[in-house]
Amino acid sequence: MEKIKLQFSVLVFVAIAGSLLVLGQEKPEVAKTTEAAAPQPRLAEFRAEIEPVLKKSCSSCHGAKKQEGEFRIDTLDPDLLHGKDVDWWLEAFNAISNGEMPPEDAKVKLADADRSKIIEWLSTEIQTASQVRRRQQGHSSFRRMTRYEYTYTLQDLLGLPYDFARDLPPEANSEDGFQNSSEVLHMTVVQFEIYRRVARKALLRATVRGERPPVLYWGVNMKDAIAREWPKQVEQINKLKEKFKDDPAKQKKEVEQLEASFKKPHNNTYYQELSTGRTARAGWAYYGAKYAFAPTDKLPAMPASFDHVAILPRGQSLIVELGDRIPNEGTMRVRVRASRVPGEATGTPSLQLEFGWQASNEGRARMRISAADTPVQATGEAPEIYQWEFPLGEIYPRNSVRNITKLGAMPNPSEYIRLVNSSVSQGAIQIDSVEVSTPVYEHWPPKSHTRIFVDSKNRDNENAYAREVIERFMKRAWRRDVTRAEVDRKVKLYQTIRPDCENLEEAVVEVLATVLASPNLLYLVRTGVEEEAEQAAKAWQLSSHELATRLSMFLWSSTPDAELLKLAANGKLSDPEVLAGQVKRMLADDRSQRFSKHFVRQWLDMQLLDFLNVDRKIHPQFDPALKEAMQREPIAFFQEVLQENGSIFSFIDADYTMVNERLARHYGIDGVLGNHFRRVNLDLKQDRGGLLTQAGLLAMNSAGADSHPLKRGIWLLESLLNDPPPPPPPAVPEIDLADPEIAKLTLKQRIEDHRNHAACKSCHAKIDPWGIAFENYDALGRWRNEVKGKPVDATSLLFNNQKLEGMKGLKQFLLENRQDQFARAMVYKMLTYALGRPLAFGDYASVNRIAAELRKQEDGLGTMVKLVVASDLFQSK
Amino acid sequence: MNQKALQMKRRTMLKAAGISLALPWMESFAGPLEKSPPRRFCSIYFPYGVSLPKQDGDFGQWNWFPNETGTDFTFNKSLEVLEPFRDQVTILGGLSHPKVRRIGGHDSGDTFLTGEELSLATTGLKNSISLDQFMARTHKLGDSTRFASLTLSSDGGTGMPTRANTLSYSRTGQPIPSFNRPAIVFERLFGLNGDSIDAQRKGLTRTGSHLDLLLDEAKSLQRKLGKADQGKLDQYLTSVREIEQDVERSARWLKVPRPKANAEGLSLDADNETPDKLIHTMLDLIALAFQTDSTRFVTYQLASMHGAISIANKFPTLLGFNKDAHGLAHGAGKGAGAENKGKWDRYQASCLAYLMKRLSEMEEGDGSVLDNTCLFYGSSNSKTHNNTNYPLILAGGKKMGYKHGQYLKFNNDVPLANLFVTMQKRMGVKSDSFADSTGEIVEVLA
Repeated sequence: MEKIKLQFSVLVFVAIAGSLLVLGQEKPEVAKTTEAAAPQPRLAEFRAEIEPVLKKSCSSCHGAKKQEGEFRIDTLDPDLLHGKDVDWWLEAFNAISNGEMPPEDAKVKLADADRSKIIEWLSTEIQTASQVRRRQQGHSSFRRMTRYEYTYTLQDLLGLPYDFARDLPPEANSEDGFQNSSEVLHMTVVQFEIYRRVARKALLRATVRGERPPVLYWGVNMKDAIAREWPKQVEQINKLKEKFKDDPAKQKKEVEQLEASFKKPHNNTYYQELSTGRTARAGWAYYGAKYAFAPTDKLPAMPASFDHVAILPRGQSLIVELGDRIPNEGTMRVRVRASRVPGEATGTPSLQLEFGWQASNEGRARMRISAADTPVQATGEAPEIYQWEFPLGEIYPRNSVRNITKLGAMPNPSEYIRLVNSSVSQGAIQIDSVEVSTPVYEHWPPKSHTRIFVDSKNRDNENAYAREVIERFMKRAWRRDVTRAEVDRKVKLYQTIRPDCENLEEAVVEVLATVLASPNLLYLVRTGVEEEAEQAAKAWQLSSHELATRLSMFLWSSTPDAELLKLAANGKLSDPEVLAGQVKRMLADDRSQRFSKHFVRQWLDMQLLDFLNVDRKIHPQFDPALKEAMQREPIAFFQEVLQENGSIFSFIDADYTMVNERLARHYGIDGVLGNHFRRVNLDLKQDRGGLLTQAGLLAMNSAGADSHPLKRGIWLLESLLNDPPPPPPPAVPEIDLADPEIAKLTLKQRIEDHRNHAACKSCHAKIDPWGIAFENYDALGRWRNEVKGKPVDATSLLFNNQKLEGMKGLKQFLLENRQDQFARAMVYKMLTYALGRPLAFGDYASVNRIAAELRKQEDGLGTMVKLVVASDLFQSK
Repeated sequence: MNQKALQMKRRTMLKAAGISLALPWMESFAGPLEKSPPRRFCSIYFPYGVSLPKQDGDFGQWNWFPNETGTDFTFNKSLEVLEPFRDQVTILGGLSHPKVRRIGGHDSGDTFLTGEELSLATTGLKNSISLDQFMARTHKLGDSTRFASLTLSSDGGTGMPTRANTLSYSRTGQPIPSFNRPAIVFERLFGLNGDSIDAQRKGLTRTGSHLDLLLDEAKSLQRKLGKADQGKLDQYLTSVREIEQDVERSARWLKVPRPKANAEGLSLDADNETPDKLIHTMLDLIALAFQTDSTRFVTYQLASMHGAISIANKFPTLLGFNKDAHGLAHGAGKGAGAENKGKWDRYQASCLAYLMKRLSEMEEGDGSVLDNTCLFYGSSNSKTHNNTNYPLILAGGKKMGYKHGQYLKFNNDVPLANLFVTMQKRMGVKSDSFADSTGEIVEVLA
């Protein structure tokens, strides 16, 4: 794949911060340039100061006689503002400012003073050129919503937590790894068809027809459950009695032994009668639906006291079968009275809720309903009630033979819920009562209905009411005011289909479906309202409604809420203080977790982790709980840094991280119990801290069986330093693993051998040393001191013989030498995400300015978000 | 709810859906009756090329290409699974897309059916129309079925340029998203729509007015956009127009009940964790789609060349082969690696054999569905990274005028598009060129 992106990575901006720009003032530079005299290239300075130095130090390899790397410096056009060689100058600038050129072994040298001179001249020219070129090139942010943005938008518009858009095809990733990039978000007929279908279905689920459906209740006490098991024991005893009926003494002994066994605890889920200590395994079989409890039409009260419990040891589960009458739609509420088993050591076991069914031997499904595990803190003396609510309409697949076969017949139409003790190490949980109600509606009609079909004085006038409802909804959905003509067209459609419909609601829902599938909703950021565009001070500036949309897409991945729209409507949103206040409010809102999730996943290219395939024969520890924890850590860590406005350099190194019990065990951290993520101090774990040492990020850049220094090096350069190495040349020689000489080498030696090929050297010298520094971490990101019996060698030499001593050395090097680069790289990534488009050379100046200001304001992640929002780029089209 | 949280084991789930036997085309097709059986096209693609050890070396028997050219060829081990269909296949060697030879070795998957030079410098990574769409849409051969075409893959969606998850591209070179879940494909083809015809007609009329309105809105939005943005919204407009055509098509098909397909024995729940089941179910669905004349154009990408983040890349590992697809391809150059990769080549060829078997068992006219179906199977690499000498198989379509039972070897001055011209003409397209074609390949014709 060819490289699309320009590399802006290694700019030094001391020069910029010093003289060229007044920092902190986010006045759009474009406006400035149109007002002031057009800036000019400093060509005289180039001829007098720069050209002679370049000739002396570079031309012997990059001149008329020789063109190392097919690069020639003496013919480059020194006018960066108008010339064609900007990309080459950027490459030259990177190489010179990073100290990569001239190489150590070259005959020519570059004196420090000369180097500074070049850097100063180039950085200024690049900065000026970037501003001048801003208007000429660059990509538009205009794009359609991503699949996840459409889902969140529908959720927030309709007030329903459903995964609406799951039928849309998966989104592609741009070259920089972003899914929300205007370059990759195409629209095809397949997608459009699904958007349309999703919109209509979502509205049908948000609105209701007719009377409140009757609620079904299940009140399941363990007394009833255990009662099904007793007869099995009685039968066993009777069998024994029969067997030894001729030997009363033996009979007595055998029966006593068996009865004693009925008081033992079990490894699987079992029931217990507390007063007698009597136990029975919890049985379940699908056929015949023999374990199904029947619903009632009144909610039975949970008994105040109990003598029977189900005990779920760690990893075990209890199935509560509910039969075939569970409705298709509506909320199911599950309440469970539970506690830790009395006498168990302290700690917090946790519960998960699942929904499932089994129709035949092979026809079955089971899915987890609970988003996060519920910690069970109650003690045996004081059990507590734990509650889940979930939409039945989201469960897929449901048992397909419901309403086809009768309960008790085959295939079995029954469905169940399943409670799982999901603790990693904690003890057993006891449950005495389970209560299920469905469909539960707090209100009828539900709120999702009445927020569309609002109360109104027009209620009795159909046409007026339909217009009111439609117009209201359009404003919310299209994130702006709507014109009379726009509403008229919708009302006309309403009037066309009204005669075909049974009632007003049906016809209105059809019209609203076109609001949700309209380009006015699907496409960002244009508002389509002419007048407002004219009001905007300058043609390049976003209107206030567009600004509201960009802001909410950035921080909430969704449509703006009522407050943002109100501020947009009365023109206050673009006031810097109001805007900063909104950023604060939005980050404090739960919806900002979407920002953490989607930005971090795309920034760090975490889909690699989704597809991670670890050979469990080699790494049996790699279980689903570990993978899930690995996927969550970077996001939880980012969220933590964001919420406390911690320094962005926490991503390089930090004295804490976010773990749950499974991940803590993986890291060798003691004392972390339970499945929830929490902050832990790393003072005693020097081998962890920051993104570089997070297990998931290490594992996804491994080869499944072993570490992979090359992948790790490339990932570091691409994701964290925004300095991606060039792609491999077309004819890469294969490494001959069958060669016994090569098989013998350690990985590091093998890489060094590979690097000695002339064709590979120039690129690999740039990649390998970074990756080798990670070698103390194995394929799952665990610390190791040995590989295949040999001690780990994680030292490497960067260009110019800069030595990296393992991870510690790498972090130290980055913190001492690459802070500015990392800050710029992060600003670059966050801006790319915030704008929803790839950055171009013209955006360069803004990236630098934000990064410089961020450094000045002490590097807070929250500060970065604020600076991004305040920037001219964010507020431009 | 997270889709990944699903833990499904429900092979028989759809068995009880009350489904009867499939009907052949003559009985189900109620449009203007055609006198001869329909002609169909299906292309199946696999990534990373094949094992090509020296024919006379230790592992020569795992060289994908047969020994001897012409009709006297003998299959090597990779293709011997096709022996039962020897007289129904033509193996083609030496062909490739000339423009594609200039782009990266892992970048060529997108261009298998387009022949476009997919580079940033020359085309800005923009593709051009694929053969299936050229026949189905441009030349309207897809108009006489409920679905103009069907695009399938293992990864789903479009993927990204140079690592696409689809073989099909529209008139403007846009990737057409592929379906990768059997249950969704089945629902699309045979879904039982419970509504009455009247209710459906009402729905279609309604959809018609919806679309008019959306078209209006899109046009008025477009007027306010800059030129580049107008292009993006064009995609929306095109989509609306295409749906309008589909609505018209649906109106025509309204009275024709959807074919009743037999879901018994279909593993519609197969997913990425059960690749063998997944691939074979997709092949079953292709056969059913053809048999019921639901569509006449299918493309199926067995896997993309997207390495680490391709779902299908790990299929070989899950099926017990010793590396993932990319790993097998890279290891094929040396020693036993040739055999490892060859075994995977054989597995893939067995999938083609399976589809041929299914189609040959479906009677149609005085032959089988296979006799009226042109299958085009292959990869855009010979061995990994190498965009020449594609391993290709042309199969089926005996009643469409193909001669089979031969191994044809060409020089690389013959563009692959020449074969496309021959194929499109056999399908009924009245055009003598496709992409960079310079003529035809008549050697495949009887």
